[in-house]
Amino acid sequence: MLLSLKSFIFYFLIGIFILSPSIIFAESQHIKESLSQNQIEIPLKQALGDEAYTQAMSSGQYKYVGNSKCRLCHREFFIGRKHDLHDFTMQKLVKSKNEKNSRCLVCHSTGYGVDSGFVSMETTPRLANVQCEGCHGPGSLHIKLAKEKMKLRSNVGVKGFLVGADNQKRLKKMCTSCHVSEKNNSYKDLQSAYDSYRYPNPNEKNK
Amino acid sequence: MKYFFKNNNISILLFILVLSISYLSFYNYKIQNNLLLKQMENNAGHIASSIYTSIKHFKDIKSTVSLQKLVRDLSFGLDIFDFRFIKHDGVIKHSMFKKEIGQVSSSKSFQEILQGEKKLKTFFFEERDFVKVMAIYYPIYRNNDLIGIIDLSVDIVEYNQMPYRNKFILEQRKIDLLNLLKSIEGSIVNNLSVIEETDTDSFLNAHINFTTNIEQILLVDNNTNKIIHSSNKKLVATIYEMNNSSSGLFTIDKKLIYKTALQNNTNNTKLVLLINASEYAKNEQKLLQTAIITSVIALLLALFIARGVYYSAMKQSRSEKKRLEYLVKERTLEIELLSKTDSLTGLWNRGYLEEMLEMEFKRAHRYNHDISIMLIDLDHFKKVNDTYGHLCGDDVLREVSNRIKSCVRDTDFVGRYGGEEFVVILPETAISGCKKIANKILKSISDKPIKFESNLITITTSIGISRLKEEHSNQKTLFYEADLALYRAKKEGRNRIILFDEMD
Repeated sequence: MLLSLKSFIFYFLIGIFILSPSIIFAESQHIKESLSQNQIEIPLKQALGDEAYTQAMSSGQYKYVGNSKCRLCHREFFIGRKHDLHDFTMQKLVKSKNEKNSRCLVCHSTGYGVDSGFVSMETTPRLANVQCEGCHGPGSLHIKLAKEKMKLRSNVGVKGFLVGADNQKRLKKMCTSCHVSEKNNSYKDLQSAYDSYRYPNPNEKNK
Repeated sequence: MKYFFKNNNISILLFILVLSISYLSFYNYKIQNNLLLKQMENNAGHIASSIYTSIKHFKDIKSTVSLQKLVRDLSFGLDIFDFRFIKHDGVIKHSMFKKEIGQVSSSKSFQEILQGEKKLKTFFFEERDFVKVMAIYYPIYRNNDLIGIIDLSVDIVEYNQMPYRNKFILEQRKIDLLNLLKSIEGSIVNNLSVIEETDTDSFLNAHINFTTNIEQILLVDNNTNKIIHSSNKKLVATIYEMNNSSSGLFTIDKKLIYKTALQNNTNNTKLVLLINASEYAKNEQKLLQTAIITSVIALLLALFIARGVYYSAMKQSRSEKKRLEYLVKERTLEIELLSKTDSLTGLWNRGYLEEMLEMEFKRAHRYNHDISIMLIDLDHFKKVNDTYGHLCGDDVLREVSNRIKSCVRDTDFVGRYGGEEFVVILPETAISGCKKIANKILKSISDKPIKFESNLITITTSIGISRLKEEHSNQKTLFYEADLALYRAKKEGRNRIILFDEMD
């Protein structure tokens, strides 16, 4: 009985050893491809354009705050997005041991490469994954405006985002800066995907 | 008066000292007491003005100050994940999320709290909105009644990321949160007394219940002196109408009460605050005790010093007295001796000799004892004086007296009777013994010449001796007999001894 268990483990290990190259190859195929390309431009910069980007950043009004602050007013979105794949991007990087790779982090985190954006899991864990600000840009100005509006007892039409819902063109550009066909095969119909993200949980088809 | 001061200067000084110390201590007591009063007055004034402003802006405060605002401000300022104020029945009164307000909390952990499975005031970990958080349920009490529970949670991403490295941060966070909760508790308790009470009376009541030493708060109309609003305790209300002065201390129902009144001219009302002044009374008593103790100590000290001074003075006077007594004794002895002795030779003088002779005679006569006397006269002493001078004569007399003294016994009396005449009284001595001594004297004087400056003076003596006999009635006869014998000796050629008994 003991012998048979031992021999089973032995053959299992040999099997894994023989099969391993093909497994590794299959996993790293997409990663290798993306790594061989040039450094990707920061998505926010791509969406805004160089001039607007530098102007916005030098104004000092825009800072990343993290989604726990967004939750104060948009709690249903916070909960809904917990089921979205955007909330697991960091997990994916950790799996493939690329959590320190700047090429990957540009798209897999919130505001990597931008001042007050994501730096590393140790220093800025609150900005891990692609959060609200990952697409809409830094939220500090929005919060400031929201507070002022709240004092006036109305929170209708609070703006203050670099990439807000009022500028759909920019928002779509933000999507496409990361979601290129070569990097994400699942991404095909931009418009329908964009529309689904109007709801707290985009994967739930509750239109 | 002057005499009195001179004699009692120390006691007067001490008395003044005691008086001044007592005065100082009581002065200090007075100042401290005034300070206490003033402090109480100030405090009362502050309280009164704060209550007044509260009443004045009662409606404004009610509408604007709310826990919801507090919650909102807190949640934006700090990294707080959840903040709810839940009533004890489970209804969410205030929350970070407006939609929740009014609903019954369905949280699992809160149910556990209600059932007593989870402890209040302890941190625990839980998943909320798919995020692992650290949460706490913190009860708020007012007057021992549970008025609600704060449900607070914080996002602990850093800790989740690296549990071991950030353990310290977590602990720090806990302390911060507890401090925050305490301050929130304070503001909730304070605010609720304003927010929850609906009219002025009950607000005043709530204020009294919340504070410890305020007895009653009254709002009085200035013109009619009638009470518009008052807190519950009516015991002071009627008393107030009797004492309408502005402020001060009163005793009402065996309680020491401090009254302060705040005038408001705009709506012609007066806020009267009655504060329990038992604490002040206690302090005042303590101060008074200290003052009394200080003066008593000063008094005791003064008494002690006075006692010490008195003792030392007594001691000094006693020793002085002793010294004086000793001096007097010595002086009297000296004088006595001087009156009995001859100044030139140091022998007994004539007066003392006669006294002694009488005494000895009487004693010998009574007990039938022997007594002999000797009369010694220097031969041709006048010649010595004439040739060598009186100084020499004095010297010779001194030398002779010394020689006589050296020949007699201690019990014999040697005296100078006058001029160059000496008397020796020999009590208890028979005539034979007397004769022996007389021979000795005669020899000692005549054998050696007396030296004066460069001269050697040879001098001889004649001695007459008599003894006591039964027929003698007094000492004078005895003396007379010796004188007769001396006279005979002179007559027979000097430098010899003649006994009266051997005369024919």
